[in-house]
Amino acid sequence: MKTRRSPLTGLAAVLVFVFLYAPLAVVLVFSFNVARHGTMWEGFTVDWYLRLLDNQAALAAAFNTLQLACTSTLFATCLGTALAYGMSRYEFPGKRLFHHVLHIPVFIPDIVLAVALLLFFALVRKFLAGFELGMTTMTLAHITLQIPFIAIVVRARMADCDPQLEEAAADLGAGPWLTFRHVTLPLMMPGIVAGSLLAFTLSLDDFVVSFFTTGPGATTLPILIYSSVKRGITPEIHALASLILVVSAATVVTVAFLRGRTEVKR
Amino acid sequence: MTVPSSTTFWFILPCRFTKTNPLQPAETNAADGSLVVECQQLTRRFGQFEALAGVSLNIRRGEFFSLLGPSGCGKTTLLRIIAGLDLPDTGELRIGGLPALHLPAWKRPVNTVFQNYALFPHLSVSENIAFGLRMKRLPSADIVRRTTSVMELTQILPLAGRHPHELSGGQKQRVALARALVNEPAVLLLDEPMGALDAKLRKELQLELRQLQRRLGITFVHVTHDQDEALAMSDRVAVMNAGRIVQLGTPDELYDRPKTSFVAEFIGVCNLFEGNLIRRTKQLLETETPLGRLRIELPATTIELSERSRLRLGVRPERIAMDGGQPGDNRLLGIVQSISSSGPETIAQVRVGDTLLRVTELNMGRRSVALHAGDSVELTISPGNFFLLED
Amino acid sequence: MTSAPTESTKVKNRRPRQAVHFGEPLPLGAHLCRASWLCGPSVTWMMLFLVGPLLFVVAMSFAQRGDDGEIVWRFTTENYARLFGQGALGFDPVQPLILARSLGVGLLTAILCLLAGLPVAFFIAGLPHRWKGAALTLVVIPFWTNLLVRTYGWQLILAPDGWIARGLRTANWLAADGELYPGWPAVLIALVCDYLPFMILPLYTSVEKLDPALEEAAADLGASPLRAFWSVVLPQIRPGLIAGCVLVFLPASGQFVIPDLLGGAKLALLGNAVQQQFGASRDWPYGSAIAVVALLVMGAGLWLHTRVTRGRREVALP
Repeated sequence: MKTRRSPLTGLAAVLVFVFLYAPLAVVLVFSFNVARHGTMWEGFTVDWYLRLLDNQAALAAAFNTLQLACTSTLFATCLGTALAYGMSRYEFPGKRLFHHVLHIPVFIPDIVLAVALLLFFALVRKFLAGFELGMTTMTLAHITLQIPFIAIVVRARMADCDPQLEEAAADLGAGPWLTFRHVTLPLMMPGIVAGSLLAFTLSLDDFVVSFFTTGPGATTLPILIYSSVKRGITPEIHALASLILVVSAATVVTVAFLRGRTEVKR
Repeated sequence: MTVPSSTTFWFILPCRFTKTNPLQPAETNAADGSLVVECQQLTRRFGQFEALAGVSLNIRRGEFFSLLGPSGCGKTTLLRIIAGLDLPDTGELRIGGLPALHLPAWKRPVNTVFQNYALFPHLSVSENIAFGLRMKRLPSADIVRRTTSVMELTQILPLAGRHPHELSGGQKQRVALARALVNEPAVLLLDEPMGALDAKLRKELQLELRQLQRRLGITFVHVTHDQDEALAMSDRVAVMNAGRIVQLGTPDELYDRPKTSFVAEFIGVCNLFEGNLIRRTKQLLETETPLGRLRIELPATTIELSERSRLRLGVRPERIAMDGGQPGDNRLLGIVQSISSSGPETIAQVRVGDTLLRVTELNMGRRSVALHAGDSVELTISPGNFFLLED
Repeated sequence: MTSAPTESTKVKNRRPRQAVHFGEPLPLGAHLCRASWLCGPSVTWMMLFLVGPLLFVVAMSFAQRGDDGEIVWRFTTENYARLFGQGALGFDPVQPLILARSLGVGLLTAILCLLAGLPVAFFIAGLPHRWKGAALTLVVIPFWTNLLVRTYGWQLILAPDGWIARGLRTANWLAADGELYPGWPAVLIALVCDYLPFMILPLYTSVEKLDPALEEAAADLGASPLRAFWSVVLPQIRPGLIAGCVLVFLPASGQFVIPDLLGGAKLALLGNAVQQQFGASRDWPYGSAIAVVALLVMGAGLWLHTRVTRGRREVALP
C-alpha cells in the first residue's frame, strides 16, 4: 500500500493522533502547573506530587489498587493460562459455546457486568453471614474480568506457534512433562507475560466494576479520582492521574516491545 | 558419529556401513536381524480418507530407503507412524525386531527431520542440537562433546550461537539434521527434508546427505515426492499411491522395469502403448503394436507374467535412438513433429503411424545434419529396452 | 524376536484405542480428563461469576420492586413495558428516549470514528514495515490508560473558560453563553476519542490486505479517485469497516462514565439509567430490565460481528 500516501492522509492521521493524546497530555501538563484553580499556566512545579505523599486517602487508595491489581492478576494469570492451554490442546463438550462466553466480558458494557456482580454478591450476602462487599468482592470481580483477556492473548500466541514443535520434542525423547517444561511453556511465555500485563492495566484502570462491587472502606485510585472529579478536581488529583497514566502506558509499551521481539523470531 | 555412544539404547549401532545387496529379493525372513523397521498390514483412516490401505514394508539396517509418491499417497502418514507421532488403525510395527506400537514417540530409537524443520525458536542452534541429549539427562561434558562433533560433521559449527530465525533455509535443514543425528538413532526419518529449498541447493544437499549416510551407516527413511531426489539418493525406493505400495525396488529396477503405468509415468518420462502378442520364443516376444511389429526381449524374472495376448508396453525416450542403432534393433520410420533443445539434450516428438513418440538424445556434438520439424527419421529401439506393464 | 501371527494379533487387540496428540499417545477418553483439570477451574469460575450473575439479572428483570425498594419475586413484564414507554398515565416518552438516545449516540460515535479512523488506517498501512508496529502501539496506548483520567482531561480542555471554548466564542461559532461541556459535543468528542482504537485496528487489518493494483486499474480505466474509493476500495475493506463499527457502537452505547462526567444530568444513556436504578432510585428489577436490553443489543451486534469476521482471524485486541 505504498501508493496511498498522500500528504492529506498524513495530515489527517497526525491530527487524529493529536486528538487521541490531547486529554492525556493536558492532565500531565496540569499536574506540573502551579495554579491551583483555573486553566491558565502559571509556572512549573512538582509540588503536587510531593504533597501526594502526605495524602493519607490517596496513599491508602494506591495501596488498595496495587494490592487488588496484583492479587487478581496473579489468580487470573494462572486460571487464564491453564484455560488457554487446555482449550487449544484438548477437546471438551461445549467448547465452542464457552469460547463465545469468554468474549462476553470483552464486549459487554462494563455497567452491565458491574450490576450483575452486584446483584450476585447481594444474593450471596443473604445466605452467607459475614460476606461483605469490599476488597474480596472487588478481587473476585476483577479476576472475572481478566481471565478472558489473558486466555485470548495466550491462545493467540499459541495459535502462532508451530504445533509440530511439540512433536519434535517428543521425537527427541522428551516426555509430556519435559515437552511442556522445555518447549510449550517457553513458547507461551511471551503471551502469558503480555496477557498478564494487560490484565494488570485493566485492573489498575477499572472504575465501573470496582465502583459497584466495592464496599465501605475499600477505595481504589479510580474511585478516588471519580469522587474528586465529582467534587472538583485538585492538582493533586492531576498528579495522581498522571502517575497512573505513566504506569499504564509503560506497561502497554512493554507488551508491545515483547510482542515485537517475539514476532521477529518467528 | 565418531564418538562412542554412551546412551543406554537397547539396540546396537553398526559401526561401519554395510551395504546390503540391493538385488537381493525384497521378501526377507522377518526374523532376519538385519531388518530395522518392519511394517505389517498397516492401515490408517482419517474419516472417509484412507491414508494407508494395508502397507507391509521391511527396511534393512543401514540402507537409504525412500518413500516416493504424490501428495496424499500416505507416505508422510507412514513416516509419522514409524516415528510414533501417529498410530495405525490396524497392523503391526517392529523397530529393531521388537514391537514398537506401544512405545510413545519419546521412547522410540528413531529421530525425525521435519519438513519445516520444527526448530525450537527459543533455543540457539547448539541448544536445539543438545535438546535430545539433555532430555536423556546425559552428563553435560558428553552433551558438549557430541553436539560439537555433530556440528562439525554437518558444517554448522560457526552457527552454534545463532537462533533459528537468523538462519537460511539450507542452514535450518542442517541444524534439523544435526539435531536428529546427535541422538544416534537406529533409524533417521526425513520428511521431505528439501521441500523448502531451491533446486540448486537441493542437488548439493542430496549428494551431501547421501555421503553422510554412507559414512555413519545409520538407516535413513526418506519421504519425498521428487522422483529425481529419490532415485539419486536411495538404495531402495517404495513408490506409493493411494495408501498402497505399488512397487518397491532399487532405483534402476524402478526406472528400467516399472510394473505399472503409474510407476512408469511417475518416475521419469515414458512412451506407453498397447500391443498384441503374436509369437513368443523363450524371452523374445513378437508383438503387433500401433508402431508396427516389434520384437521385445524380457528379462527372465518377468517371463511368467506375459501369458496374455494383450500387452501394455513402454519405452523410455532416451532408449530410442535416432542415429542408426545396432543390427537386430527394431526399426521404425517416423516424421519429426517438433524439436527442441534443453541444453544437454535434444527432445523430439516423432510421429510413427498415429502414435506420437517422445525421443531424447544427448547433445554429444556428433550429429552433422540438424533435424527439423517435418523431416523423416529412422528410429531404432533395442528389443531389451522395452518394459512390460502389469496393468 | 519372532512371533507367531496369533501372538501379534493378540498384542494388537490388547492395545487400547488411542490417538497421538501433539506427540503424546492419549486414550480417547483422556482429552476430557485433561481438559477438565486445565479448563475446569476457569470454566467454573466464569459460570459462577459471569453467566450465573447475568442469568440472575435476566430473572430479576421480571421481578417487581417493593415499596421500600426491596425485591418482590412475582413475575411481571412491567419493567420492559415501562422501558418501551408504557407509563402509569399512558405513553411516557422519557424512558424510550433513553434507549433511542443511546443507540443514536452509539451510531453517531461509530460514524465519527469511521471518518477519523480511515485516514489513520491508510496512513499506518502506508508506513514502512518497521514503523507499523510502533504506530499501532501509539494507537492502542490511550485505550489502555485510565478512562476516567481521559474523560476529565476532556473536561479540562473543553472547560467553559478553556482556550477552545473561548476561541470558538471569538470566532462566533459558539454562542456567548454556549458551552461545550457539559453537553453533547463533549460527550461525543470523548466517546470518539475513547473508542477510536476499536475502529482503527480492524480497519487497518482490512486496508493492509488491500490490493493496490485494483485501485490503479480503476484509475487506469478512468475512475476518479473518489469513485475508485467508493466502488473499488470500500467493498474490499467492508469486513474491517463493519467489524470496527460494531466494536465502537457496542461499548459506546452502553457507556456510563463519559455521559456521567461530561453530559450533565439531562443526557442519560442506558448506562446512566442502569446506574440510576441501582443507585439512587433503588429499583433493581427495572435496572435489570435496562441491563438486559443493553445485553440484547450487544448480542445482536456480536452476532453481526461474527457473521462478518467469520473465517478470518479474529480482530485481536491490542
